Amino acid sequence: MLKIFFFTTLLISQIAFAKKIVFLGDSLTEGYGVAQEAAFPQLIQKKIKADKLDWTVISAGSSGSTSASTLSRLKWVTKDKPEIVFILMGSNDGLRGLKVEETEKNLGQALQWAKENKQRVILGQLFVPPNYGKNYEKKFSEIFPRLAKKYKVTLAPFLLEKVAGKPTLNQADGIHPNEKGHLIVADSIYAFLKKEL
Amino acid sequence: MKLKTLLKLSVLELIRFRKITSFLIFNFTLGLVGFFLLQIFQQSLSAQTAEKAQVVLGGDISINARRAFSEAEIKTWEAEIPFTEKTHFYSLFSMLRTKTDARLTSVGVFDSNYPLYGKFKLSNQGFSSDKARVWVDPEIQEILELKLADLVDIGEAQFEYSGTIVEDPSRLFRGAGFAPRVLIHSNYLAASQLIKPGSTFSENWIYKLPPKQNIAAIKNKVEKIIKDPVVQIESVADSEQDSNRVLKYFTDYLGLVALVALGLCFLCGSYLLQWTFQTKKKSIAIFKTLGLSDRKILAIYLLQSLIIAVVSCLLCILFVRLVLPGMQSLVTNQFQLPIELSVDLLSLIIISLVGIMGPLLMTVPQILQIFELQALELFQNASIDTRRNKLYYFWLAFSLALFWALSVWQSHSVKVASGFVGALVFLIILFSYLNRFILFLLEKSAARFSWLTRYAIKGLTRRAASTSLVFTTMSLATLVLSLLPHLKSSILSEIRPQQTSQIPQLFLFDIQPEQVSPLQKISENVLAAKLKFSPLVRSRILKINDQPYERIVQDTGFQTRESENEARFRNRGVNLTYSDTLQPSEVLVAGTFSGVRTDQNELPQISLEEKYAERVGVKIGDLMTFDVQGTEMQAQVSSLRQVRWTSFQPNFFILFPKGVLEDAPQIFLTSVSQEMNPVKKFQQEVVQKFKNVSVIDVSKTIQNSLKYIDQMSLGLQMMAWLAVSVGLFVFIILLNTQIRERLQEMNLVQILGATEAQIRKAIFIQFFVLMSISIASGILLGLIAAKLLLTFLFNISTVYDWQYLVFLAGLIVPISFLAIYFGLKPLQKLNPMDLIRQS
Repeated sequence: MLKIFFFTTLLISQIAFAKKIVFLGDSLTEGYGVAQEAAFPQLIQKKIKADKLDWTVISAGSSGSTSASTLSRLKWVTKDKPEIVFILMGSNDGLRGLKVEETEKNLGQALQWAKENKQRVILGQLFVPPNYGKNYEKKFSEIFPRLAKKYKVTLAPFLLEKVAGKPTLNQADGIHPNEKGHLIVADSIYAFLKKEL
Repeated sequence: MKLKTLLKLSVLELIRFRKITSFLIFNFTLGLVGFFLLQIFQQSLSAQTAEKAQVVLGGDISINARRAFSEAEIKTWEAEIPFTEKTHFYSLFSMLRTKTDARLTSVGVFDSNYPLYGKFKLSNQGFSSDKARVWVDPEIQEILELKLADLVDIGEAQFEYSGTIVEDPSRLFRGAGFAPRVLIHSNYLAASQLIKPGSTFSENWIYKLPPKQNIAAIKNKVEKIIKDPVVQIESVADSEQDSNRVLKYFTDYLGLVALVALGLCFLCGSYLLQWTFQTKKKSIAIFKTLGLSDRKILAIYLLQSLIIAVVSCLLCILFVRLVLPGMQSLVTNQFQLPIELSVDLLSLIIISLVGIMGPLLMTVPQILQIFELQALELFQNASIDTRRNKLYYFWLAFSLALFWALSVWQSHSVKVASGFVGALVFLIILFSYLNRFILFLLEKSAARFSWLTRYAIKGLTRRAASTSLVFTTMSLATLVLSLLPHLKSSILSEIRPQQTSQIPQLFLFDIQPEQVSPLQKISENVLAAKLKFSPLVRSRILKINDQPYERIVQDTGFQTRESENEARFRNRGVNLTYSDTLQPSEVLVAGTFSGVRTDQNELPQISLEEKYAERVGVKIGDLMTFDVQGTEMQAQVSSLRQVRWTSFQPNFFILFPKGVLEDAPQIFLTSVSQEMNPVKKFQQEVVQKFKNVSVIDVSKTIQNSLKYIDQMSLGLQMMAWLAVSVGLFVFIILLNTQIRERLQEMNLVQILGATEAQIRKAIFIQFFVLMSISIASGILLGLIAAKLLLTFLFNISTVYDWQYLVFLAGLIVPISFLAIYFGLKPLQKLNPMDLIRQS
């Protein structure tokens, strides 16, 4: 009986006091088209567990969301006092051809708020596909290092680095990774993230 | 007796009863003409639908994927496709840049062969490859203020602006994308460097097949060759299903109208034949007394029916041939329908078979009577009921089977045809019992009335069989008259918004919560109108009744395209919304929706769209677990809704009550109707102030679709009136024959001392009773039948056309009175001697 009591207390304290990392993103984070447990945030959670690290992963992905919602959603997810918020926002801005200045402004506001509220943030580098034109592609990709530098946040490498443009790793729409793609995304993000945890 | 003699006797008999003969021929011709015209219209519409589908697809079969195809892949499938022409194009998003501005566009990269059916309508000149040119949607031209010959950049190449896209057939009935369209020629794709590793695009190959090819079989073959589930193979039939749900309603409707019109005319024809048989009984008695065998009498009557049928059929074909050019001109010029009315050989064969077999089959019950009747009975001129032997039932079953086969051919569906024939049989039986019941009640209560009313009622109850037939036919005619407009108004209400205020010009999405209020202010200032914002909350369904809902993919991957599609559907996530009321485009079909969550300890009670609930396997009372961006939430299904998706308003599968999702991360959607002005100024202000808000101009796409729907509905009305005319004609014929049936009796009553006024009153009472119960039953059952048909066959909400019912009553009543008035005209000329002569 005593053993059960201690075990339950330990379990509750583990869950309650485990550090939290929130992935705040769009359809890529939501795992559009794949089961939740096959999406990269849950795969990272499995890796964390396998490495016996004391972290809980929360996936806050919302398909179709643009950088305009970053600040309000950041406020929502930080109610739970996470240790780290991994921001992966801006893909839809790029895909919709929104002005890069606007994307930069929206992300900047969110990072400013995080800074003021002492919220640790990791910013994910994003790119638009080359068919959007060199000019736009360049302007868009330059936002992220600039913001990381300005707000002194860690910049994570592009999550689709090894997946983008490979038909075998993507769903029929050619944009969203399939189950295999998510495994590779999880590997590359975790390789970077492990140092930060 | 030789055939020639039998033929001579038949013709002589037909000539002797020339009024009845012409009446029969007229009736059958009219029925066939109605059926034939409706059928031509339906077939032409189906052909038009197929052509439209080819235009929408751009060819007969299309193969596409969001990746590049290898040459080996293309060679493999082309070996299986016996194509005559092919085209190859890419579709992708890219920025179109001027010196000062840039906009996202959906770039179509076409070769000179595209489209294989239909063509682009461009404002300035045809699609050409003489130099790097670009054609753009008008909104891009307006926003970027492009002038002809201006240079713009797409990718790494420079293009000359050469005009706007006026009509792109591939976009008819398909929603507008979030970026405006631009067209470039594939010769300049390499220079633009739009396609390189990492690019997102779709590659399409479209083929034109020779006529009469089995496209479905070819598609199957290609599907077997191409194993990759991301490759989509679409045939013209898929495109037809996809884009022409609207047209399917029309063709289904026309099929039903044609069958109803034909069924009605045959029912009337059957009644007329029975009536004619009664008047010809004396001739049969003479033939029998003179020693003519039953078989020969039968042959004479069969020959008579055959002559009537062949003449009716020929007259019908001749008439249709004569009126077809006029109809074509009406259809083209008046209704501006892009339909070519033509008669094919199969239609001619079918119409001839129907026209000849129909009357012959209808003669069978009379023929059966010839075998069983005695000459003396025939001389007595008494009404004798048809004896129902095995042969009669065999005839009945055979006729029904034939009518069913015809219905299958006409509706292209065993289900629809079976439902239709079943409903018709049910209605006939129902009307027959209803009539018996009403006559029973009348008989019971007749004692309370004056002798004249009693006599009038007796006139109906004494002729029970005849009254029943007339009642059934009249009720069916009224049912048709009242049913079709309800179907028409329901279909139109389903596919076309009734108020212009519901037709949107702009769709706005990705509105952030803090932008709702300032956006509303802009709307109030610029449009002088309040916008309705719909919240959208992204989530995933995790469990249904604690069972995992999402599909985990095994290491082996997907075995079929279907299994992949199903898994992707389940894993895709869902959009939730919340509201305290249902939208005008929504109807609760089961359960209750409270609108506001009052008790925080109870689970939120949600409403699901009924088809969606069916697909995900959820019923009322089931528990659903959602993941709303990291937060798990449980809800209980308390109601199912029917949603009119063609309402052009934002609609959702899952509706939460207020008080649950307000704090969840969300965005809002709204639409601006065409009535709100000035839309352009509003659009400019929104784009300037809220750069993240996507504004899509859907007016052109919707206008094109609505224009087509309007044209179709005009044709639909025309066809409905044709069927209604047939119904009215049946009505008049029945009244007329019923009056004729009573003339002899009236003559006798006159001789016995009744005044003409009393006779008129007696007849009037009889017909008033007969007509009022038939019309009331027909209208009532028309309302029920419309509800059943629309709910179970068309699967849409019922919108009754009450205005038309009033109009119908206003039409039938005077027509009936006129028919009675003219029908009673011979009463003035009645002579007691007629009675003696006839006796």
